[in-house]
Amino acid sequence: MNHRTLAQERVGPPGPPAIPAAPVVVETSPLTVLQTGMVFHQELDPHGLPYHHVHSHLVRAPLDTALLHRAVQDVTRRHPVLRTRFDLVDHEEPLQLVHEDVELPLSCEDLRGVTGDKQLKVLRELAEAERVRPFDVTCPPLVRLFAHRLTDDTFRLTQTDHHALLDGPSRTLFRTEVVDRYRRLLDDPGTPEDPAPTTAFREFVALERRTAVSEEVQRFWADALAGCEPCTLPHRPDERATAPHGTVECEIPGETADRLRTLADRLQVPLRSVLLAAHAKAVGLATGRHDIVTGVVSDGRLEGAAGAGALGMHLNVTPLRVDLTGSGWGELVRQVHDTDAAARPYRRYPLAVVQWDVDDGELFDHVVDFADADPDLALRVAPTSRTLSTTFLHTADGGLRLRLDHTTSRLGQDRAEDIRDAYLKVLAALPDAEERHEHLCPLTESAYHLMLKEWNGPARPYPVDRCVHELFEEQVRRVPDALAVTDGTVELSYAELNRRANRIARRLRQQGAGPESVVAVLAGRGTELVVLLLAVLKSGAAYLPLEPQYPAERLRYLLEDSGARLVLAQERFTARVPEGPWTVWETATLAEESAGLPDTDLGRTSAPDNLMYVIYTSGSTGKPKGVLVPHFGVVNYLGWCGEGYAARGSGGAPVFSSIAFDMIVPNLYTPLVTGERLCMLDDSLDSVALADRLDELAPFTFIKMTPGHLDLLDQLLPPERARRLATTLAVGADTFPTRILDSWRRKDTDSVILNEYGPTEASVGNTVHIVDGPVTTEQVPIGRAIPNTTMYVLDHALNPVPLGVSGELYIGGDCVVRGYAGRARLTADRFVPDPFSEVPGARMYRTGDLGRWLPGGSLEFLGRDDDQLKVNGYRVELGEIEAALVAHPAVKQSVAAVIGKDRKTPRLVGYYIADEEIPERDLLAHLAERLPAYMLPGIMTRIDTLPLNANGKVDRKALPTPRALTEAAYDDRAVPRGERERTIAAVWQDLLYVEQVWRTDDFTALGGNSLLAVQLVFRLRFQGLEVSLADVLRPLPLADLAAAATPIRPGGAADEPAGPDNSDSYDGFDRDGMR
Amino acid sequence: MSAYKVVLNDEEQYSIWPLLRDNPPGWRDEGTRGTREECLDRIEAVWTDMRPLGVRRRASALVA
Repeated sequence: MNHRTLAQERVGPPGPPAIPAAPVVVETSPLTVLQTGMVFHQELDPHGLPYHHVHSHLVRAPLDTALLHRAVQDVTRRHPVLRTRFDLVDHEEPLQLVHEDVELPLSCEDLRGVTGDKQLKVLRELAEAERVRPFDVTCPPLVRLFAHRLTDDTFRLTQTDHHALLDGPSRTLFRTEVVDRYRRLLDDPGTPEDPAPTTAFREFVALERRTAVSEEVQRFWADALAGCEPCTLPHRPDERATAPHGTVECEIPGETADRLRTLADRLQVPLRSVLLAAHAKAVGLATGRHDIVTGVVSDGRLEGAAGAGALGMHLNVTPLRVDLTGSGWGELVRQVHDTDAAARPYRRYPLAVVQWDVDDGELFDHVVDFADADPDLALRVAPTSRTLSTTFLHTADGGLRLRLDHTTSRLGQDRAEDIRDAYLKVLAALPDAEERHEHLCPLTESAYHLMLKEWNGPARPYPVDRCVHELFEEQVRRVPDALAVTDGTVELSYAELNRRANRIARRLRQQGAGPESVVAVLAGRGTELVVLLLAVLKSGAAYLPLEPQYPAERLRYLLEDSGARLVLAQERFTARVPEGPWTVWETATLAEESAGLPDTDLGRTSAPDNLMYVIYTSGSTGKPKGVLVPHFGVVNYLGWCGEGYAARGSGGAPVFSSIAFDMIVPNLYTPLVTGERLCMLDDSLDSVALADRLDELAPFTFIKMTPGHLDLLDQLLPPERARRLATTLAVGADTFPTRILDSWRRKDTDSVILNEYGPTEASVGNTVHIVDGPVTTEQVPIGRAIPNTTMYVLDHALNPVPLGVSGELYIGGDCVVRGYAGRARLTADRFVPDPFSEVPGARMYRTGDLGRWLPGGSLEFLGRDDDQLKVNGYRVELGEIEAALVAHPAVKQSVAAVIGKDRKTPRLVGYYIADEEIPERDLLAHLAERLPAYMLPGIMTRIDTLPLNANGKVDRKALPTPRALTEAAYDDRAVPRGERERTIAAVWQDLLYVEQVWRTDDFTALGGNSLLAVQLVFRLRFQGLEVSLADVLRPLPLADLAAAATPIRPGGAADEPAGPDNSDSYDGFDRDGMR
Repeated sequence: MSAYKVVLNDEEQYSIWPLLRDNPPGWRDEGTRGTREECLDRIEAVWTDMRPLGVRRRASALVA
């Protein structure tokens, strides 16, 4: 920048403003809450951006520097704020002090000799320099002025001012006053000074203080915001942004503005209310929420003439809460108008005080304001602390403009433009007051096409006329002699497996099995299980897979609810089948009885729309619900598995998960429909033995497993074994923490790793993310829909939500199953018309899962909006546990909860209200008779009352730490003794999040599983104590485990400090030593 | 309180749909209107055989 040729003159004190030797302070007052926030924000973060504004305006008058200087000083004398400084340390509380005499710095520069472009460049550079040049808040004045002469008749007046001093209206007022005064001095240098305004800023401060402590005001806001969840915009930062703030501004079309005014007149509300309603709706669209709360910038200056001329920081932001469910636009405007008007008397209640009770400190990150458009505004630097600040600008000619200031680290330019488009869409639709606003689709046409069409599963032909067992029969014809299934004891070729299944199928048909009938199967994971499942399918029937470990009560319920009439049970399990209106058929007998029957294929016995299986998932009302799954969805899914999981490599797949869940489907059927090997792994294997067996049988084509399995294998397998395990590792059934992926990737960069998502109600799997690079999100994304499947992210009114906005996941396409057995009501509620499908009458499944689209077209899973959760990949409804718990005669009320959600292994815990403490073991035994093992809480804690949140729902976060309240039930004899017991107890406490561990406790009863047990063994070894995994899982009580432990180096645990948190300390530890 | 209606498709599968919204193609009104709960109650009463119409027809053809 070459300034030397430019005439430069300086008026006023040279250099930084100097404080007079002994400044006379004429006035002091405390700070408002907002001022305090602004000033301290800067003090605490001196390297952050200064909290000040730079505005530059064109003045149409010749520049007389001496007169302008006089005008500035005249105005400074009138307004105490312009002479104010802050003192944060010398008094009991921070004060603002008004000096009697302060000279405002004014720099003048003549730019007449340079081109317009160059003038602009000089001014831009000034603004940029001013933007980052801080004020010292302890030295007045906190305003700087610059004048740049552009022509003989025009100059630019630029002002930089600290935001804690001047609000928007005051800033404008100050400039207008300076310019007016200057013009009058130009006309007549002898014009007398105006008298000072009568109110001082300190009166406003006093008013704010009174408001903050007023009980009436506090009550108003407590009621208005009761149960209100924080409402913030999804962050979509712009990494390439060069400036911290950006602005998107546009005109609101004249016709729209006219119609908005007409509507305001018709509804007899000010235009403000109409625009506020538009803002509320736009926030709803941008957040995907229907109960929104946003901030309205309000001017708190004193009423009447006294307040009108006062300069100062009078702003506050008042919350505006709007219910966006089901109404017409007109009603919405009226609701907003009434809410806004009701809040007006309470508008001075400081926002910071409102937000004290908010968990994350911010109730909203968007505000709306109104202002007059300023045609002379040439340049504006307006820092916003909000993600989005919306301003409706009134132009002099009666027009309307929309300005969006956004913080680029949270909201990039693209997204700000999307939001602008949403505003325009809302503003255009709103005048049709009778229309229902919930039907407004927030997406632009191109975004709609992208998310609904392009990013969805491609339409791809698959054998729509085939059932799953028919696909298997094709492989029998193709590779009859290939190994189909092995369980380590019995091996069957494709031809032999088919012959056995055909004979049994014929026998089942004789007994009445056929399309739409349900046959229960109770067998261990072995070759025979595969024969039985195929036989049921070949008979035309559907199977109900029963987990042998289920308690009898649950088996009875599943059989009754599914309407099964036949139960095929292995001899070792027949005694477990309860009495009922069903025939129990011992499988050995069945095989004998069918021995003489023909072993050829039966021909067509069922069609693809007939049921294939019924699988029960946890039910929120206390009873599991049976999902009715027809063949066609599974056929489509297996088509994807063949392509995505089994196209590369060889070795088939292992089956090691429970047959009662559909996690087993890909591992079980993909090999059978692609002619590969199926390895059945016995259900008695614990996790460590499982890892060994998988390693022995490796390599596989693919393995479908939970993230927990991958974590476990990661801990147990050295790199070379991890690498050769399988060509493809398909992870699913639970959120997949990127941490586990990264850890695995450190030892194995070869295997293809996929993350799959899909509920049982949509035929096993629906989306897949193929890991092809580093994952930056905390969880691995769930990717995109597989062929013939559509994924939607919708709001409460079934509108697609914009990119990055959280909504509910809906699934459409051929995967959508029939419904829930015997539950028409629930089925109709969860399976709804698919308005986006081109197939007439198509339905989509409402998952209850939350998710959002990521840029690039991948979906991210964001948890649940209800009490359902996953434990080791199993779906668990807390309501089902609570129902089982309250069935205990002494329990009055119950809550189930999850602790350690943010940690490696979340665990279930139970709380109950009862007249007296019930022994934990009794309660656990009671639950074990009713719930499968994976649903059992580890610890029971008695509480006196249920903590409720503002909405009257149980506030699980407010529950006490498990066992924190039950100490009285135990005496000193239960407290761990000696270094060893204490060392073990400390590790248990840390792994199991238990407040107190007793020496009579065992690891599994406290909720420890095999994954945790492996961690326990490693951690104790790190502390010099060797315990056997088998002893931990046997399970031995703590005291016995300690007695059985052996020190592994001289001194052992006794010399080691007990129980430091070194949860990750065994990373890099010799994991192989375990084997 | 939002208003809903009971709808069904050609397979006679029932569901609910916002009252003031057009039915997606292939869905027709059953006639019941009311709250979500009222509509679901109606469905619970009338949708007693959850097999799609095509499956039911095939089954009765076999029996006949």
